[in-house]
Amino acid sequence: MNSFLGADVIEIGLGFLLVAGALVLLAGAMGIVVAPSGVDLFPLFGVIGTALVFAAGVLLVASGRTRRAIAQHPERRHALRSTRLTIVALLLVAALAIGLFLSPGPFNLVRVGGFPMGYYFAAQGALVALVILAFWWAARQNRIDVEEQGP
Amino acid sequence: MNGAALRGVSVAGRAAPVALLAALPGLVFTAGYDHLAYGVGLLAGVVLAGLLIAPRLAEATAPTIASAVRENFGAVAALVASVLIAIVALPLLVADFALVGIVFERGLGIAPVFAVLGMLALVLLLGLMRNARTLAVLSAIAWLLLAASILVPLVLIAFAVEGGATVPVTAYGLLMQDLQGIEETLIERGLVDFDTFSAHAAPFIRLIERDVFALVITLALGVAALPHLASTLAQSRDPAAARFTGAWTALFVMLLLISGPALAVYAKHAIYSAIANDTPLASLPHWLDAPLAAGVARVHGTSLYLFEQVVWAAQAGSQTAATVADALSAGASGSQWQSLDPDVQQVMFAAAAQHIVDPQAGSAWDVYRGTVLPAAAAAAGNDGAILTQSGLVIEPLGFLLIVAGLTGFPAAVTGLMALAFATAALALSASIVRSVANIVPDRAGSRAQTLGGIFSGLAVSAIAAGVAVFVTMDLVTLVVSALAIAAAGLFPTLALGLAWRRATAVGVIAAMIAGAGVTGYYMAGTQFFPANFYTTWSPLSNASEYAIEEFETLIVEAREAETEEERAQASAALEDLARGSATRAGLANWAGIDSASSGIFGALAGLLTLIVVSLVTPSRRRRAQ
Repeated sequence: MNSFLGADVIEIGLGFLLVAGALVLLAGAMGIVVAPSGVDLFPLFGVIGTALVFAAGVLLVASGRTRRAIAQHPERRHALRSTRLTIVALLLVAALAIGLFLSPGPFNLVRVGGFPMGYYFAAQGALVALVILAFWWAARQNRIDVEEQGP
Repeated sequence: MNGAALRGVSVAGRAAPVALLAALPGLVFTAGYDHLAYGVGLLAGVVLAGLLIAPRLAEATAPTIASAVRENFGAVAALVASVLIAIVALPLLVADFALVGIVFERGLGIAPVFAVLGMLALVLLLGLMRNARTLAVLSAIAWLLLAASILVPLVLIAFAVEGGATVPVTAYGLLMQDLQGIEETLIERGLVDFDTFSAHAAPFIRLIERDVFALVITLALGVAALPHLASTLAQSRDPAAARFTGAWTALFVMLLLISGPALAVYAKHAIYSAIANDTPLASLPHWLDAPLAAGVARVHGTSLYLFEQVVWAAQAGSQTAATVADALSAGASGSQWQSLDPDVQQVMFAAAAQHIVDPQAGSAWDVYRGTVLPAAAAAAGNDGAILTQSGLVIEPLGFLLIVAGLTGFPAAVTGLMALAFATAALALSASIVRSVANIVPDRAGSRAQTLGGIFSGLAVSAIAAGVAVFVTMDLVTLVVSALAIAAAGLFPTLALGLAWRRATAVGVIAAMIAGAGVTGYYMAGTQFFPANFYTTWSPLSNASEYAIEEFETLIVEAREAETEEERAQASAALEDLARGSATRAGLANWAGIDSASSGIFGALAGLLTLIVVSLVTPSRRRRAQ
């Protein structure tokens, strides 16, 4: 488990890279860092895109650290796996209920069955997805409980 | 269907505050996209209650918040939590009682006092009964009735509009496209007032993004921390079962929440079509009859209900239009009367006096339509006397009466809705009273209600019933405020405190007090002493330069006033400016967040306090592993 380049090291490294990337994007947008030859990537990603890159980075770091913690403290496997699932599920709830709701603009350019797509997500899509997420979350946590309580 | 699904139906019948569910179609009608936030926030809250909080409560000896907090953090923390539960329960009960009062008064003509008293008796009976099975069955029936009260009108209206059977919840996309066309016509012809109009699908016009963000968080965390919801979900005492019950509950709540906005679009299409077709006020569409008679819709500020109130005031001895204001001062009619143009008041009063003298000349309807409406239209500058977007104001509950009228079976559909809301309000209130009664621990570990519990339940519901008879506050604001307190006071403890092994009793107590304190302070500050609040927090306010200038002028006026009267006037104007109104945001705010949505501040304060205080106090908590 303590190999020099384990999955945990790769995840943490990649996560930090993504977080740093998001921060550089943000700094460029705020004018703290001047991008070379006027390349400003922020408009391409937008606020939501940058936030997603940042969240993905944090998630990877957390995942890598949990992996490492599980390897070092096998007796805390149950708690660590549950915590990781809770954090992922909470981020998904936030992405569906807040992220999607606050960024209907790009989706509204497309129509689905007459609905502007951003409106459709807010009125139905996000709600259906939240329910699917709830069932997945319940099943996943219950499986962790069963697996970790077994002999 | 398995057991978890059946339990899900039962919990879904009392998961969401009924006043919010009833108002949802009307809210979406008023603000389009922005008010879809209510549905998203509610559902996210149900998911969090079922998956994040209920499993923790299921591990406690008794599946209640007070019990879980007591076992983990001791009696003092449990006491603070119990006080918060009572504080949250009270406005929710008031809203339920008031809703039933309104439904029975405006729908069936029964005095609200009798409706509320009858409801109080039933709530106490069901809430304090030892056996929870009756309440569970009633709640499942409540969900079925709620679903029917939304789906039956939806199918009927869709059948009339589409000329055939469709699946209205998914098929209204094409209607929305059509609605957009009508909205563009209205805008081109200058028939809309942009103070109150926004295109249905256009985001962030009635609410700014930050406010929507705060509203969704407040609703989600507040519903998650609702005292009765998580404990009902945890009743099986098995975390695994609680999770699946939570997921099924979310499914059934979701079905209600996606149908409401569909109803809003169908009715909005009909209403805007009538406006685009230059409907004369002399021949208003039949679906406006019931809401105008009940006073939950107004045309140029007037309604048949208001006219009948004026007739009543004149009969009771009001001699002039000016004294009518005093007679109507209690209740919503008074402020509606006072916001009318003086000329309209005169015409209305004269017509009322004439109607008393000569009731044979025409029914109140005829007088209202023939005399009052034209005068109100003329005063509003509506020379053509046609139905306009800005002239027609519809309250959320009035919107449901319009929906009922559009189905073609107004009496049957109104009755179904009234029955559904009354049943759901009864199931929800009884569950809340039960959760209040459960804050007192039972020594033997039996699940019988203790005397102290029965007394707490009795006290809270009796106070709520008493307040409900007089409350004139907007029920949606009342419910969201209660959810904000729940989000601020209870959520940090339930979500983080019960899960984090390092959390200490002192940390949890501090978090509950700080969270509820911050949100309570924000609500009280922005409502009761707004000028002072703004002066204290002016750097955080989003007030415009113009408003700040006006504010400073008024301060000078108040200081340099010569007489007491002038000073009082200037101070009152100062408070009003800082407080804001329904259509204009006040200066007293942090970053422009509405006071009802301030759960976000309290929840943040609570979470931070919990973490910081827990880390600096020694951990004494020992959990059985």
